[in-house]
This record gives sequence, structure tokens and C-alpha cells, in this order.
Amino acid sequence: MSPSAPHPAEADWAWVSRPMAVGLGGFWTFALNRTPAQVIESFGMDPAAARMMTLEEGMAAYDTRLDEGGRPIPWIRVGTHGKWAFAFEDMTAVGQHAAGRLSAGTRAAYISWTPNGDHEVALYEDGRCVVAFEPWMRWSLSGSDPARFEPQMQETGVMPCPEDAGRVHHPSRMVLMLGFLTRVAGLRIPERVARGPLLTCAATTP
Amino acid sequence: MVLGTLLALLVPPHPAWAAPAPSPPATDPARRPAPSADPVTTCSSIETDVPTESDGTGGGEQVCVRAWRGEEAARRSAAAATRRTPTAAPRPLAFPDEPSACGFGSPGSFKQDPNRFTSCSEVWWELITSERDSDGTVEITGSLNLNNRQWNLYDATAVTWTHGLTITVHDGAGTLATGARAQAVSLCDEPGFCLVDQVIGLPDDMEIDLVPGHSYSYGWIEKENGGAAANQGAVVPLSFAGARLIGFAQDQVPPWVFTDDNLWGRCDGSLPGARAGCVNPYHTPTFIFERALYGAAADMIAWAQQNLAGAWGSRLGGRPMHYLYSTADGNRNVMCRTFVQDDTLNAQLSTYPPRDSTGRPEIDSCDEFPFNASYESGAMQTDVNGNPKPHITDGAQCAQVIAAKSGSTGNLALDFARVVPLERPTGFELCVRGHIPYTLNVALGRDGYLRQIRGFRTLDMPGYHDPFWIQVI
Repeated sequence: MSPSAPHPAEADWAWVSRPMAVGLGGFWTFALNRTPAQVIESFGMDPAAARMMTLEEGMAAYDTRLDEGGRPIPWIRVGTHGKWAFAFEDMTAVGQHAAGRLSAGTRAAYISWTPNGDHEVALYEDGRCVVAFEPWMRWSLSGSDPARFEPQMQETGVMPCPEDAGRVHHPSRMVLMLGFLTRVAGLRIPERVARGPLLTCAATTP
Repeated sequence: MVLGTLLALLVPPHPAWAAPAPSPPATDPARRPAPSADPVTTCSSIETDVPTESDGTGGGEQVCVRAWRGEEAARRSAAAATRRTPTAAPRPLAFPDEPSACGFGSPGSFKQDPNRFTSCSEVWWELITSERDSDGTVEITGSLNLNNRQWNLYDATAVTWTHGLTITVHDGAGTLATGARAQAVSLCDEPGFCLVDQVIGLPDDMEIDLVPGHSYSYGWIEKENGGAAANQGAVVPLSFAGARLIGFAQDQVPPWVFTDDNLWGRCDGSLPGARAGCVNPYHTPTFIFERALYGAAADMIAWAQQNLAGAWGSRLGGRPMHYLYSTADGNRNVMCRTFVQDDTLNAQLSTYPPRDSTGRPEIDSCDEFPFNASYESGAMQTDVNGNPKPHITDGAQCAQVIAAKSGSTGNLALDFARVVPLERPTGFELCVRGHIPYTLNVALGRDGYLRQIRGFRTLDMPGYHDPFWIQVI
């Protein structure tokens, strides 16, 4: 790839790098050929309680709810695009356990990020985690078959760490994680879908 | 001269609302304009038609307002404490109490910025009337001593706040022996960056008699009007906020105005993924990280504060840290690309609950402090002011620690609650890099750091590089 050519992942995912486009931390879960109701159930929530809301309406309804320990109560925005269903969490990570369940008989994935740079992407197939890793951090590779996607990792720049990291422009590691999932699983979620009205649901207050 | 004209002359445009600030104020409390410790005196007068012998101008009546903070306020506070307790006027049930956090009543206990969501102001002030006769002789004809307590209570997830004001009238003498007639208005009543949404105390348009021995309570629900809620990315400083008292002319007392404007705040819609909200930016918050929740990830921070000269974020000998929005990826890369997992720790972690529903085991991960997302990160080449700073080029140059297993409860945070150094540190390392269980590491970054960045509305924008302290408990 030419140094001046835009990274392929940026064609689909540059929007997540724009200011205010996504939260400082988050957890996005994806599942192939699943319905929103199945996704909501996998999070231990009630599909019947879900309502179509804008992001602003969802935040107004759920964003300030805390449990007795002062920690956020999970809430998700759920939708579909193409064959993929997705669930977006903001400050919680329920999807870390939902992804494996959703992958039974199909594929699922997640990306996770925090403001401190703790990122992870994982791909599941039929109830198994095939590969999971933090971009650029080879020591973090895990899963049942982490070598299987080595060519795609290198092709998308998500592994290994580029020698010129920090000196020249690279897409954000969030864009790289999503670009990797686009490359290996055809996952794409346009901004208008991600930021538009979505089914919104929350865990019940303890 | 009609009263309206006189008041227009007495009330200049308020600086907070006249125009947007040309450059946003820094959030360093030392850079906020300090109120004067000396009494500030403003006077207004009504001239008579009789020329004086000395300068040919008329004699007349004058009223002056003087306000004190600091030592003189302390003296006046002590003097007032020996007098009778003022009687509070009946208050609506919804009216908020004075926040105890402000420590009202004495400059010794008073706190202007007690926490991130409260701004307080207390001032002792005095009305003095005088009369100048035709030969230029000035005679003090009356005085009234008062105390104002004001506060704003902000909300991290709303651009409305509660503004309270208590006026206590102490002694009156001469022309002001029975008090003064006035009305109090919030400065948000005037055109600018905020609006009065609701009045919850005495009505703004009500003229009341400020009678010695009584106190009067005002309250407003106010809201930001500068775009923080509507425009993502907007920051609206609330500077010189407060109230204005407008005194009406009475026998031998000209009209007067006292502007009490020492409340501060800031509203913004600048935190991605969060609702707009408001804080007192001049309070430096303390981020709390609990060992009970984050185990060794929290202990590593405490270890660095206690064992390394930087003592980042520690109130005990350290300096506050500053949240960094943009380059955490790069810092993470420098800190952790050469990290190698510890086999022994991985073996210990393999008996703990898996990381997901498919049984993926808990693992060793690379953790670092100061945070990647802070200007104090060991990998940062410049500090919060943009000046070059010492930095590392590889996380191996940091002090190295590892989570130590100290229990067998099955709870990761409790069993891995401490870190130990892998080699003896010099104490002058620019950072610490640790082998920390993945779940604890990420939980501290998400539940801990992110939640408090948002909770305290900690900004990293041009002009706003909010500091914070860190305490591990």
C-alpha cells in the first residue's frame, strides 16, 4: 500500500474517528444472521421492553442509571445491517459473554475499547473464540486458532505493530479492528445506521 | 431624575454576559481572577440644586456599598456571631438548603470550590449613607450590615443548575436603622449565556424590606443558554455568575446597586458519548480507584505513587494529572509492544473464571501508569503545557511490577490485590509497566477511568486541560 493512499478500513470506518462520533469507551457486539430479539436475549434483557430511540433519547433514559456500587447499569442499542445484527454498549461489557452464545451455529464478533488504549477484537465461530487480540500487541493473541487470520491481520495493519507507529499517520486502532472484521467477515455498519434510531433496551435495576 | 434612568446608569453591562469570552479560561484555580481582599466601594448620589461654597456643585445624599472578603470578612463574621440570630423568612418547601460543603459563616471554614459540582460565594457588605451640605461637609447618616451567601449546584448530566442566595441583615443605624428596600435578581435574568428557568425562592420582581435581624432566601433553577446542550463540542464558561441587588430610593437614601458575582461554572457538550452537563471547573477532582474492584491494577498506581519520584496524581508530594484525549493509542504502543506475558502468572490465572462464555481463560496483560490517556504518560514527549518532557521509547524502560497472588477466594481482585517489583527500581523511572490480569486492567480503564472522566466532565481541549488527583483505596 502506498504511504499516501487511504487505508482500506477508512473507507468503511473513518466515521468512528470523527470527534464526538463514538464514546470514549465502548463495547460493540456483532452476530451474523441473528435477529435483534435474539441479540437482546443474549444480553439477558427482555426484547419486549425494547423501544426505538435515538441515541440522545437512549442516553436521557438510561445513561445516568447506576447500581448500588455506583457503576453503570448496562443498556444497549440494537440494530441490523445486511446480515449482521449488532449491539452497542457504552460503559459496560456484557457483550463479552453474549458474543460466544450468539455465535452458536454462526459467527459473532466484538470490539472493545477504553479511553486508556485497552482495545480488543474477537471473532467467534459456533461457540468458540477463534481469535482475539489487541491491535499491534502480538503478546495478546489468544483463541482456538489465532494463526488462521495472520494474512488478514497483516494486510489490514492490525498486526504486527508498524515500525513507524507514532511517527506517521495510521488509522486509529478502533478503525483497524473494524477493518479487520470487514476483511474477514464482511462486516460493515454505516454511520447513518449506527447513529440513527435503534431498538434500545436496558438491564433491569437490581 | 426618574428611577429607571438612574438604575440604568448604575447598572453597567455585566462582564459575564456582555460577549463571549475571547479565550476560554484555564481551569487552574490559580488563574481565576481573585476577588479583592480590600473593600470594594461603589457609590451613587442624588444632587440637590443648592451650589456648594467649595466647588459650585450641589450638596446631596449619597449611598455607598462596600464589600469584604478575607480577613476583614472574618472580623465581621466574628462580630456578627455575638449578635442575635437572624430570623429566617418563611421559605417555599422546594427551596434548597445552604450546602454544608460551602462552610458558610466564617472565612476560616468557607470553601469557594468545595467539590466539582458546587461553587460558593460569601461576602460581607455594608450600605452607608451620607449627606453633603452646601459647604461641602460630609456627614455619615446611616449604615446597614449584611451578609450574602450564594451557591450554584451543578449536575454532570444536565445543563440546568440550582442557584441559591441567602441575604442576612445584621445591624442598621441612622437612615438605615429599619433596613433598606430592595429586590434581588439572578444575573441569569440578564441577556447572556444562561437563563432563569424557574424561581424557587422569593420572586425576582418582589420588592422586599431588608430588615435587621432577618434573613431572606432566593433560589433559581437556571439553565445554560450558550449552546452546550445543542452543539456537540461546545464549552460555555459561566464566569462572574451570581446575583444583583437593586436598592430603591427611600427617605434620605438614594437608589443603589450591589453586584455579587463570584460564582463560577462551566457547561459543555464535549465528552463523546455523554450528555451535556455542568461542573465547577476550579475544583480539581480526585479519581478514586478501589483495590476491592480493580485489585492489582489499582495497587500498581499506589505503588508508583509511593515508590517513584513522579508520584503522579498523589496529593502527597505529587502533582495532578491531566486527561489526554487524542494519542492514547501511540502511548500504548510505546509502553506495551515489547511486553511478554508471564507464564507463571498465566498458570495462576487459568483457575479463575473465564473471560467469556466459551471458556477463554483469564490472562496476563500489559498495564501502565501514568495512564496512556494522560499527559503524564511515560511515553509522552511533551507535557500538558506543550513543553518537552523526559520520556521513554520502550515500556521496558519503566519500572516493572507483577501482580502477586495473595489469596484463594476465587475473586480475582481480592486474590491479586497487590503488585511486587520484578527488579529493584531506581525510583526515578518515568513510569511503571505491570503484568496485570486482563480483566482487572480493562475494568480499571473502563469502569474506573472512563466513568470518572465522564462523571467529573474532565476535558482535554484547547484552553481546557482539566487536572485531577488520584487516590487508591
